[in-house]
Order: sequence, then C-alpha cells, then structure tokens
Amino acid sequence: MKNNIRQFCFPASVSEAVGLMNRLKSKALIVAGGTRLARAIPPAVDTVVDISDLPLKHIKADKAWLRIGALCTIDEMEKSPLLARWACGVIAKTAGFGSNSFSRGMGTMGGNVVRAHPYNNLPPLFLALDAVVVGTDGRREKVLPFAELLKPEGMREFGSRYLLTEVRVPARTKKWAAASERLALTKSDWESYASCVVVVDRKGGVCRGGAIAVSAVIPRAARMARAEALLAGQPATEAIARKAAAAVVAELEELAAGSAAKAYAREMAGVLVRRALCEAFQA
Amino acid sequence: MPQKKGRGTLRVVDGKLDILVNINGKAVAMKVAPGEYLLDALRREGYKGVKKGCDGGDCGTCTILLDDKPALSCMMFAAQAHGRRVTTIEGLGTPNQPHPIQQAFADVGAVQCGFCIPGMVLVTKALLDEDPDPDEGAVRRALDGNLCRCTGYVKQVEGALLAARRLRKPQGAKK
Repeated sequence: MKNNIRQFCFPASVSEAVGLMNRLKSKALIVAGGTRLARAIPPAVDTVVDISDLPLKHIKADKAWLRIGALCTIDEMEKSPLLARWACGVIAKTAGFGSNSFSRGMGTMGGNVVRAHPYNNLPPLFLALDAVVVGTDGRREKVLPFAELLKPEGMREFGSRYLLTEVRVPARTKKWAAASERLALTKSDWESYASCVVVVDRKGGVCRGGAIAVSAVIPRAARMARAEALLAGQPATEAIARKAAAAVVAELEELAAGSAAKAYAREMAGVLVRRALCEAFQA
Repeated sequence: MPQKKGRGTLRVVDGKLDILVNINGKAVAMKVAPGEYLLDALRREGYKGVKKGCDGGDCGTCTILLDDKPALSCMMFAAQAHGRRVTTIEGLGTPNQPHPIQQAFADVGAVQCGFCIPGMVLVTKALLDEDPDPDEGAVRRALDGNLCRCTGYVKQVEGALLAARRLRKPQGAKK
C-alpha cells in the first residue's frame, strides 16, 4: 500500500513517546493495539510510533480511584477480577461487548476511548461512571472529565499534545448498582443499533441518583440528563424505569431534530435503558 | 534477538526496513516495505499456512500468535513484529507429527476445505495454554473471530474440547 513512512519507533518510556509525538506532530501515527489504524494511514505520516511496550497495562485501585492503564486490552479488562467486582461487574461485562476474540485481545482501552467511534463500548461506560481521563505532555499530567474528552477539542488534544495514560473511575462507584445493554445484529458485531450503560446509587429501595449514558444511536456517547433527573429520590421500581426510558427516547428525538433516521434505534435505546435500569434495581 | 523493551528505531534504507523476528523459535531477518503488513511478509518468507482471506480484519484466517497471543497479521505492519515472537501453524506440527490440537481436529472431522483451520488451531492453542479445561462456551467465544464457510462450527468446537481432554491427560495415558 502507498504511504510515506520513513521510520518505526518503539519508545520504552512514556516520556520518550510523548517527546516523539510533540516533536513530529501530525507526522507521527501512534499505534498500540493497531486494529484499525494500520489500515488508514494519513499521507502526512512519516513515522509510526508503536507504544505497545509502554508500562501502561495496570488495573488497580486505591482509596480514591480505580485506575485502568491505556494499554490494557479489552480481554484483560474483561477477565480482571477487580473489574468483575466493581459496580456489579459492569466494566468487565461492557468491555466484552461487540467484539471478537481478536479485537478483545489486540484492542486497547486507550484506542477505544481516544478513537471514540459511536459504536465503541467504553465511552458510554466511562461517562456513566463519572470517569476522568489522564494524559501527559511529558512535563505535567492533564486530568479531564471523560465528557470533555469526547468533544472535538478534547479529541484533538489527546490525539496530539497529550498521550492518554489511564482512565480513573471514582472509588465511590464501586458499590453502585449498574448494568449495560446493547442491540446489534450479532453478539460479536461491532456495529450496534443502540447501547446504554446505567449506574444507580441506591439506598433502601430508593434511588439517590443515577447516570444513564447512551451511544451508537447518536454520533457520540452522551449522558441523558433529564432521564437521570427523574431517578433522584424515586423508588427503584419498574414504573420509574419506564418513565426514565421514555425521557431518554424524547431526549434522543430532540437530538435528532425530527429526523426519521434511526427512529427504530431510538425506540430501542429506550427499551435497553428500561431493561438496564430494572436489572440495576434488582442487583 | 532484541528484547521486547527498548526495540529502538527502525529506519527505511533503500525503501526497506530490516527487521528481526523470532518465528517458530528461529531468529529470522527480513527486509520489509515500510507499509507492508505482517501477513504479506510472512507469506513471502514461505509461511503459507498464514492465509490471506478478507485482508481486512474480519475473517481470522491470517491468525498468528504474537508473543503467544492470537493476533491478526493482516492488521499490523510487519515492522511491528520486530523483536517479538511469532508462531505460525508451521511451528505447531508436521504432517507426520501433528500437534495434538491438529490431530483432534482431524479426528472429529473438523476440516473441510481447511482454509480457516490454521487460524482456528492457533486460537485453540492460545486458549488451552491459558485455560486447559475450557467449557464449550469458552471455546466458542475464543473462536468467535474465525469464520468458517464450510461448517457450522460444531466440529471445530468438538475438536478443541477433544484436544483439551487429550492434553490434560498425563503422557502415556490411554486416550
């Protein structure tokens, strides 16, 4: 295939990798899992920076955060005993959504969130869990709310100036009830019609608050603020799940601005949210 | 053989990159084009068990083991394998001395046209190395990236489970 690659670099440290990124700017292509980028090299790229040797494969927790390294593969997340215990196992379960064994084994958490395609499974998960992304420009750490990463400016910064090093999930979410759902043609199909992740902070059968993130049916994963507001202070029942699901559909309709496209998927997003909320209420 | 850490920088000279890869236990020096995929480089070197199917990451026929983990050789540059360990189907067994997984696949009739089989055998090898006693669900999940257009996957799953049983038995035990 035609390309203008002149060199391959294999940095052994984060600072070396960031140095290459900052020096070469758009001439550098960062690859890790390499599942897609190797097939789409921009003509400006003359250096491939393979960061797969960097020490960013950790999954660990401290008092404040659950920390997931950018180079953890989807497979490692899915099989992590720590993630299986966190928020009803929603991280481990959602990580394995919509991919085959190769995507799970080669694809990295960092690639999944930095190249945040609407079908990717991790952005709605981290949005719902109030996660933050952490990057470095070689001199200082940059911490950004996950929602900011998904904006164009966030994507530009983390694709060029900052190297994503980890995602942090607040420790308070560990005991929260959570569930995720997706609708796709097949289990291993990457492209889904709709997907959602819900997280519920519940005490004595009453929701103290909750998060609902939807993706695939909209261009980028988003929280459904009005539906979330309906949950606060309400009993964790199917009736409130139905109300919240209806609010999600209404919010998606507004985002679609009357377009008939994906009307079916928006309806299904509501169904998925209702199912996920009911599952979380029972967890 | 360079270690995985500190693989340094490879520069294009006369349109080629010099890479050093451990293939099936042997250090192999290769000259590859900068945008060449590992699949094409391996086949040019004679490892024809690495099949070119969809050439786009969908079918799994180009499976190799990269540092013992299944990987799609059509989705990575050949240069990315520099300093790493690659296993192809040629590294598992021979026609006269097939690997137990290959033998199990043959014994249950899992092989029809055979095009997908090298990939399936390698994925099964990686699975059984990690989990010597997988259930059917685990086998199906491990093989979910390998497409077969001849069969309904039933025989390959049977083959993988048979191989697991045989590999768990101590040497010399009756099959």
